[in-house]
Amino acid sequence: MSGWALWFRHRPIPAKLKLITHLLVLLALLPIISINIGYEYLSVRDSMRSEAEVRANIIRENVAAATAFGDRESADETLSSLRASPNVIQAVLLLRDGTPLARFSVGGEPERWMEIPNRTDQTILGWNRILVARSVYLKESRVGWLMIETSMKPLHDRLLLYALVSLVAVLISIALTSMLSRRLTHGITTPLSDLMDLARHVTDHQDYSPPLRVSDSQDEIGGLSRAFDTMLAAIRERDARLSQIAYCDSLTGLANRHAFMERLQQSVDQARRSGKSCCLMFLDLDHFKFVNDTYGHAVGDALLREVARRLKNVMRNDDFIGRLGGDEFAIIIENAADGAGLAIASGKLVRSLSEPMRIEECDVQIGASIGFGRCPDDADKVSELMRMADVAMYAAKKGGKNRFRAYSPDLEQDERRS
Amino acid sequence: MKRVAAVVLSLTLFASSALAMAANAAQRVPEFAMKAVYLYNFAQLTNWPPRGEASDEPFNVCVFGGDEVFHALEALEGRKVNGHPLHSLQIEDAVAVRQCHLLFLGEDAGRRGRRLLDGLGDASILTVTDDPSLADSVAVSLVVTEGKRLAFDIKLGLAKGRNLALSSKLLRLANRVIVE
Repeated sequence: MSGWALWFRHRPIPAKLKLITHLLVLLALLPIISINIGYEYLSVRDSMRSEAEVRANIIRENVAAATAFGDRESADETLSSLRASPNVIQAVLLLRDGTPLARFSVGGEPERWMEIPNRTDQTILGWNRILVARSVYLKESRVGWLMIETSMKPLHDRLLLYALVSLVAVLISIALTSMLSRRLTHGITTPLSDLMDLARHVTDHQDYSPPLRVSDSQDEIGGLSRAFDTMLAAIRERDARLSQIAYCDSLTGLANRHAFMERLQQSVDQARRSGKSCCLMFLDLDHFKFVNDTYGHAVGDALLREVARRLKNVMRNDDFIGRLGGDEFAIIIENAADGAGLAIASGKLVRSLSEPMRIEECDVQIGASIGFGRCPDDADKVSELMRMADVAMYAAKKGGKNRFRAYSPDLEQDERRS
Repeated sequence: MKRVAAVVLSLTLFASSALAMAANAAQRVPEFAMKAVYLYNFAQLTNWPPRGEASDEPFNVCVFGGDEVFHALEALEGRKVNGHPLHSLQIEDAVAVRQCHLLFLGEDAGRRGRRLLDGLGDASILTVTDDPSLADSVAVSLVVTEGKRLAFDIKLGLAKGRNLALSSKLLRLANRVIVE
């Protein structure tokens, strides 16, 4: 790619449009102006030529008799009438034998002739002079030879003026198209730069919410704007799906371990800040491994789904239930100030889960061991709380399964002892 | 002041013209040859009343008492005057003068020349002379001016009386034009 093309490529769109419109104006005007100037040049030159020829013809008529008689005085007088024509530079009248009879030159001093033609009637057009050479006749007989040189300065002056006027016309057209193209450009580039700003905002702030302004025009820019909007919507949808995959246990629809831990952290933080208490409850199914091994994974999975359903049934809506993995479930109970309420809830859970279930034509009975710890009564750190709930749950399992235990420091001693 | 300038100017002019004259002296046209050319030019610039002549009939230039001019005219023999070939002839008497278009009376014409003129009546003949004694009775008389230049005087009345129309160009070049 050549330097100019590269340079043009990197211009902003308004500059490109401006450049293109200016070039178009110039391209349109240039042939018109050159044709006009050419035509003007030719027509003015022709009229100057015929003017010079007419002048020479008049002079040669008037000077004929004086030439025939060799009357220098009269010939001078006739030639000096050329003074009335402002563009005549010089003139000379020669006798038949070539001796000059009379001269005229505007400055008094004779100038160098453009060229000395042979003795035939002719008109020679130079760049800045016209030379008209004519024979002088008295009746039929040729008595002399006349040359008149005329300046083409008026032609050049006129062309210069014409060129200047054309230049002004070009400048005016460029100014007008400039104004016009600015408005045009504004209509095209503003939506584009809006879109660009929007794209930057999305990238910088990871904000995929629908843009406030979508161009409603039906052209390509409107289409681009709508496509951008659709793309944002698609991104939002994908994000939602990803977060569901990330935070949800696909088997039971409960929160997965990752989501549960996040929520637990929030609850612990909130409890610490506000002084309200929360409770972490660990729940481990009894005999699940047996069911799984006996009836197969399909029944095991269905069983887990049924457990989740029962947990949701028993617990309040604002309790947070999650499946940590395998047959381990956990529940966060917020605003659980008194231990009695917790004991009731735990009892309900144990009862509910020990009731027989009919899963895929199989009657199954399991149980659940539950342990819980309270925050901030027992611990005010997530890891501590988890450990305590775990200790309490193992204590329940050890105590004969299908029961619940609240954490107390004695349990730890028991564990160490055993 | 003006006078001084004029003197200086005329002195320089004199000096330059003296040089020019010396240079031109060798190729200077003899006076009689010039007179012959003048006669030809007069013929060119004069209109004769139509006589119903065929175009091959000659235009007669008659010379009386001017041998040198006659010889010089031979050089112009056959040149066209209003479409007719110029023919020069020497005449001696009033009978021969009837065929002339232009009659030149030379310096030697003398009294016989005057008699010739008197016998012309109102015939359409352009009369020219360089004899000062005949100057008052011819249409065109050749004179030499103070600047040694050959010039001519025109008596318009005499030309008109012979039904001759002299061109205005000729009148403009004349040294003097006497209208009466």
